[in-house]
Amino acid sequence: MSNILICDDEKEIVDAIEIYLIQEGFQVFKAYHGQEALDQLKKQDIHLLIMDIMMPGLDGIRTAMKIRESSSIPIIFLSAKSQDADKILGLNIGADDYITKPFNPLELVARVKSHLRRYTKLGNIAAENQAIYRAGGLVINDDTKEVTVEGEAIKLTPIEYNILCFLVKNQGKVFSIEQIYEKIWEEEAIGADNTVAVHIRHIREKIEINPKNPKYLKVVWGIGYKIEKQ
Amino acid sequence: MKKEKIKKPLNPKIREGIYFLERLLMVVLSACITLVFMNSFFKIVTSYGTTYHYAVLPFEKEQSFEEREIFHTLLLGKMEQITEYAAISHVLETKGEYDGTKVIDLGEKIQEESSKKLTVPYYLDDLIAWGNYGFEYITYTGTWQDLETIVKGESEGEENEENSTLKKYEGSLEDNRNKLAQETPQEGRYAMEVIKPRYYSIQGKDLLEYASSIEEYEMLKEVLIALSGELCSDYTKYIALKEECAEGKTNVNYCLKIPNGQEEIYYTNSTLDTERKTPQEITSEIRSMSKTFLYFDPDKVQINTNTDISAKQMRNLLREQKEIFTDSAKVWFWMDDHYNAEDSFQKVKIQLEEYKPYQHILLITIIISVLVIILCVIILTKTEGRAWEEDRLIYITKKSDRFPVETWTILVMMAEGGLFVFIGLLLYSYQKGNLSAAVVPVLVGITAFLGNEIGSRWYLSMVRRKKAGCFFKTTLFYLMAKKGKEFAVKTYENGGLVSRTWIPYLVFLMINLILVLLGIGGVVGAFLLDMLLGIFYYNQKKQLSDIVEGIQRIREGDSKHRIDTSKLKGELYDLAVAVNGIGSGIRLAVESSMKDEKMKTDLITNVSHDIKTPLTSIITYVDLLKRENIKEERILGYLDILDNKSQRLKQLIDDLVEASKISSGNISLQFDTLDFVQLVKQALGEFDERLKEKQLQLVFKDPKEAMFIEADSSQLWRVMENLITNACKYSLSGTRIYVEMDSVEEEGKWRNHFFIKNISENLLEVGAEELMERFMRGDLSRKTEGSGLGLSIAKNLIEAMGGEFKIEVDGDLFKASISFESVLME
Repeated sequence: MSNILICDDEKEIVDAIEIYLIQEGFQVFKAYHGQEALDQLKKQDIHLLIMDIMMPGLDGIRTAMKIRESSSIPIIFLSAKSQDADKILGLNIGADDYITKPFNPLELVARVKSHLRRYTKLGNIAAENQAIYRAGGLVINDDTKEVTVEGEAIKLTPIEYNILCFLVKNQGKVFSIEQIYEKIWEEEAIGADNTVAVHIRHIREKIEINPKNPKYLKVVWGIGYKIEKQ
Repeated sequence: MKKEKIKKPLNPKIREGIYFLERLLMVVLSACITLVFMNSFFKIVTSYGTTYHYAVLPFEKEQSFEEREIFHTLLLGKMEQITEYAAISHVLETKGEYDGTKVIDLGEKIQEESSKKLTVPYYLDDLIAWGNYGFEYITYTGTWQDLETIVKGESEGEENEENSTLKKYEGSLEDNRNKLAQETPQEGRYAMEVIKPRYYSIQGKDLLEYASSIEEYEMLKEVLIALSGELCSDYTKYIALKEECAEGKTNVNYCLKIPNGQEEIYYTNSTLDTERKTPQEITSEIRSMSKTFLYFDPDKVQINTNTDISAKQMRNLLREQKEIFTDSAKVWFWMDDHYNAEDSFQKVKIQLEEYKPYQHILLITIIISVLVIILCVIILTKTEGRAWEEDRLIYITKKSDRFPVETWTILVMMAEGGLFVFIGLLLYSYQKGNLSAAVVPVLVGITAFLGNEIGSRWYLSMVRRKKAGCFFKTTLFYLMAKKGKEFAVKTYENGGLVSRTWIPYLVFLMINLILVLLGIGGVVGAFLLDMLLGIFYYNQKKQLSDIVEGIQRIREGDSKHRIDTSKLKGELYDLAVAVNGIGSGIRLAVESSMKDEKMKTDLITNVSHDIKTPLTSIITYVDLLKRENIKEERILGYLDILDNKSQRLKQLIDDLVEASKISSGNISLQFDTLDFVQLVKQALGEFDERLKEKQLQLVFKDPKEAMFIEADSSQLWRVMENLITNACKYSLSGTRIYVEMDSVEEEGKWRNHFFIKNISENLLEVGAEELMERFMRGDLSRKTEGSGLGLSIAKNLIEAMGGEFKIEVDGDLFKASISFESVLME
């Protein structure tokens, strides 16, 4: 079972997160400022760290920098600072994810699981001889028509599957609604309306942890859609 | 140790001393120069009336009196006199004495060779006396034959009077000639002038009696008149020269050996014994007597002398008296070494010897004075104007130094010129003998003192000005130019627009006209003037365009831009300064407003962080409560309210931060070219479910072609999200939402428009403008979700991206529109 360290100066928030994580079967350790987190990391075998940025004494940024000197465990920042600049700074100094307060507890749990899977299963990918397409944690087996995200199977309609498969096959490339329509429906994209857009939204809701902040299927507003090359 | 020459002001007492010394020496110097001048130029009037000038110049080589040019000049003059005296003596004397009874034969003097030899002897005395008295004539007229009778002495004329044609005029020669001139000339009648006998020859005869023809008489008459005149003047000279050339009357001794037929005559004014002596013996004797001598032998053209007189000069001299100085003549001259006789030589020698010793003293005094004066002037020049002010050297000027340079210089030059003229007049008066030798140096000294006072004051003032660096500023030229400029500027600045523009223009036109009227040179001048004006006008325009450019840059927002005012003048300068002032005013205002907005944004951001932390706990624990299998509907209802309100609070805070960020310009936009239609389709796709939930029907007319615009795609998405969300939230359930897009040409440019129209569920109680104000929503009751900031944020975002955002309210119809300038894609 994974050990998760939660570090926030707000005791109530730490406790609440603990409740969610314990429900999911994680072992939880708690810290209330940066130094304490560092101490806990030395004492315990921690697999993931959820940490606030604004803390008295050693703040989250400096703590993360110290951790990164010796460890590569996943770090998720949980901060009230919601500016883009804050997120960029946090991710740049070595954090793996950045969740703004107030947060959706389910999203937090999903992200924790996702990072742990990646952290613990990194490099354990079996040799593939089938028609398998990947984009990070998103894997499509074109033979069995199976789609998995971070190992979890996803159920898609045939059109959704075709759209996703087309985008994954051409990952990194942006396709407009018309191009996707012509490719999938194989007819001229007159009166396509917002059919494609609706399908894309459905796919996002199925494969993304937070559909409004997608990780795999990105919306390039005014141009089209793409699967981020990973 | 570093040796540094410290410039110190001179002690005023020492300075005054130096100044006094300079003045004193200037007086001494001028007096000495005057003395040298006065004593360097001499005049000697010789006994024979000739005036000689000679100079004893400073620094000439040392020479004795006998070596001087004046000595030779005087000697030559004297020798000429002596030789003339000798020649005259030869005629008038017999054995060294005047002989009035000496017989002079007029016949010998007749030059005509053809005529027969006549002997017409007269006594010397008679001839001199006759020459002195003058001749009287009787004029006869008549035929040639009749006139001949007079000459031939056959004139028992009285008897033949009736048949004689002779007519006799007695009276002065003039009267007779006048009378003859009045008479009508007659053929064959001649006139003859016969000398009235006053003296007769030694034989007691008249001249007529010697002549045998009229021609002979005329010849004898001419000789008589000429000879008696000559002898008369010779006699006069002889008397004077005898006195001057006598022993003790002149310092020049002479011995002239003149051959006279068989014998030789010696003329001398010395006691020298010449009997039976050869010329060599005489020469050596003279040399033993005098240190300055001259021996000349015309035969051998041989000169033996220690004077500068040359053989050529001697020959020229003797040629004047060639009758007596034949080739066998011998000439000796020698000086009395003691110069005992009171003659020109003695005078000159005394003049020279009197002044000579003083000349050196005067010259030395002059040289020393000049050197010391130069030294004094250097010291005065160096130290002039220096003053000590708080341990620091400064250069001061006096009040008088403000007097214009040119005026002063001209006045000083006039004064100095006047003084020089005065000195010239003094010296002239002295030369004329109107002033005594003692007064002149004193007067010149006083004049020089005055000149020095005037000159030195002027000079020192110039030095002070130069040192204080105000020389140019005190020139009349500068002062006038300054006044002129001030006047011109004043006139220009006080004048109205008309005088500023039309008067210079008219002056320019008049100058042009005058120049053109002057001819071709004037035309060229006018052309050059026009060129200059053109260049000037171009510069003005260029500067003006610089200012205009500056204004435009400031208008475009570059409030930090400054117009370079260093080269501008007059109105353009004022304009540029004013524009710069406006620019900096704008910049200050913008900066202060930006600062205010930034502070506000920072405050809101910080406060939002503080609110978010407890809010996080609230949301999280509400969520935890909801998971606690609560069955009681009432409590579940409470939890829903808590959930909703906490979510709304979160939304409010986010919107608040966003709105303040956008309005303070603290948002960075990333522009891309994107398809507006694509974006709208994508957005509508996102809201498909929500629209269906509210049973709203979407009517979207697909324009079927792309509309490209420049915008930040994610921000534009947020606006779209906001608008569609609003449509979902506030539309009356079951109604239709219309979304339209089209491209419209406006003022030559294509604009892409987006419209969304819906029917409001609640009564819209406020106007379109208020809807876009912050914290404003259509319903004043604010009972539904949303912060009321959405439209304000949308408007600000669209405008920040260069687009246009409009809201129209028509009854319950709510209409929002966004438009961007169309971008053409290849």
